Amino acid sequence: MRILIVEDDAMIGASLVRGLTDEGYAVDWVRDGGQAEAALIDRHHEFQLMLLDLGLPQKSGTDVLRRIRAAGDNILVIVITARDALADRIEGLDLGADDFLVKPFELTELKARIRAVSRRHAGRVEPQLKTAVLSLDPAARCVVRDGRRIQLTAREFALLQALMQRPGALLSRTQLESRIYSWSEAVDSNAVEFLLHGLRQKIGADQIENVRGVGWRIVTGP
Amino acid sequence: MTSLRRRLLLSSSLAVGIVGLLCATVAYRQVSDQTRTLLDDQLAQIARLAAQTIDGSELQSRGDEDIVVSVWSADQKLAFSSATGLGLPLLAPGFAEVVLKGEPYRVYSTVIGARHIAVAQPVDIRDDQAEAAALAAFLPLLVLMPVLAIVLALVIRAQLKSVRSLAAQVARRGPFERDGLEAAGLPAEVLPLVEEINRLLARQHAAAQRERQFVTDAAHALRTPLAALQLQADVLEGATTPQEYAARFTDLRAGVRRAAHLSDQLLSVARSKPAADPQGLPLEVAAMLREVVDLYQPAAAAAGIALRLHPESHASVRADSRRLLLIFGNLVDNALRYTPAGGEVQLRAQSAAGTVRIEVLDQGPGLPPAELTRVFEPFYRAAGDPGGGSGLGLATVANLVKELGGEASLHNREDRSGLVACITLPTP
Repeated sequence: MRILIVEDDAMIGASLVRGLTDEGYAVDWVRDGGQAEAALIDRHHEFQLMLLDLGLPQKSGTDVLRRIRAAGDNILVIVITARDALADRIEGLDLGADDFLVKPFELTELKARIRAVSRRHAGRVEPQLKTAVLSLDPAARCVVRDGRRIQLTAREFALLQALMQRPGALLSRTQLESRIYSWSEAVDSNAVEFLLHGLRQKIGADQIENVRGVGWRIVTGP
Repeated sequence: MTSLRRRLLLSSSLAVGIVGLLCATVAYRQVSDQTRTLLDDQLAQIARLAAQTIDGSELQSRGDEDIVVSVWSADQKLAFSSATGLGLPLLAPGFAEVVLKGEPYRVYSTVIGARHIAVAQPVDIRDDQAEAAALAAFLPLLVLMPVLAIVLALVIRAQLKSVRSLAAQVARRGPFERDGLEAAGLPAEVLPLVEEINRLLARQHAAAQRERQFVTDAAHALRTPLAALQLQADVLEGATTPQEYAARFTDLRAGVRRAAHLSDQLLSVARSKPAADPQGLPLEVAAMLREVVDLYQPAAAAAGIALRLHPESHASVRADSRRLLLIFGNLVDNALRYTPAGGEVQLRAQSAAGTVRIEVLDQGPGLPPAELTRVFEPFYRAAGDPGGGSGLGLATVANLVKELGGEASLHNREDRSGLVACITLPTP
């Protein structure tokens, strides 16, 4: 999953990038509202989730939220802010935030909320992502096939998670790239294929179907 | 504690008492004198009556047993006496007091026709009568005095009721009530006091409001560094290699330093008093600025900025060095944050009459004129703020400079090539 962090504080921003990258998310970080809007408009649909600080200099987080919702962008938004007054929280949620986290918060809570928000977004109740054969637990970060746990790297996990998020949907190479790499990373043209190759070896080549020239999808049936 | 009511009551009672007693005494004197004059007139009248009779014996029937009348013929032979045994002597005409048989008498002697007449009355009886008359005038006043005192007490009590209700109104007030005291219906003498109290309450309310705002702002300002610390500690836990661990640990340390710096700034803002006495030994400005430059040289070098000092002043200021370092450290820190890499930050000091002017010049974007003063307000963040600041730096500077009796201001450089922070401090 690709996450956009909008945070003006250098220390918080850097730590969020680290913590979420550790978790296997592809993370990009901008420091003000203008850059956030540019990132969302220029690279539409690339990000699945935005962590938005409200106390930004110049264009506030509230303005950004209002603008992107007015533009019809349905990106998941978790507001992170030092403003904890009830009115602020209500305003944030009413403007279209999916969740609200008051600073200071623990990274584990943020990660749990990211999982919960994306689960709700996908219309799932169960925390695990499942196909007939595979089961992926985003919280425990583990994949199980036939009752056996499969060891995956962070990238492989992110790739599989992206495919299993919408079972049966075809994802192109660029789509997959954007889900697992941030801007700052130099991506080889065949990096996704390379990762897919490794992933197929671990979970079984038959679990990921390639539609030539279009993309890949997870196999849902047995 | 002195009670206004008690004092009013006491002083007015005392006044009533003194005036009453004075009146009573004067009345007593006057009435008793008048009574004696009246009795003297009576003696003279009796003498005239006695002269009209042959021998004065008719006078006996008047019943004035206490009055003695003696009549002498022209040859000074006693012709008649109502009390022969008394031995009323023949005296020169006029009033006199004589003692007859051990009792003092007032005697009126006169000569009517050829006859001498003397009328006498015991002094005791005269005194009794005079006293009775005087007391009759004196007593009502004495009885009226306590009545007057009670009436006064009631009047005072009624008049001071507004003061009591004012006290009750004050007692009912909560500590953070905004409204002033109700002034309607108060006497004109109390009104100025109430108005002053209301002004004081308004000032206190504003001060409390500012304090509360500061606490709220401070708590919010602390949230960001605390959030950073929390996250830095969290990602430190997730480090998998020694290199990662070292890098994340360095970040955590930087976070701790920032939080400590912020709490320093908060404390210095909170501790600053409007008119505190600056205490400290004379400190050479140039040496102090050199210390600032040394302190910030590594940060400047890391950012690719030249930090230069041009001391043209040998002035000293009376201030403790910690405060001065906090002032100029904040200004240099700001200048470095806004100046792009390859730029230059300068510190200058110039002496003027009784003051020293210290400038910190950066090559940043400057500020819109409207924001030049606003940025000194606590927690205010200017547009284009690169972030990472607490919004307290310049507020801290302004407070510290004010404490030292100086002035802090910001100007855009005339060629718009950056911002000048200018501090003027008095020299001893």
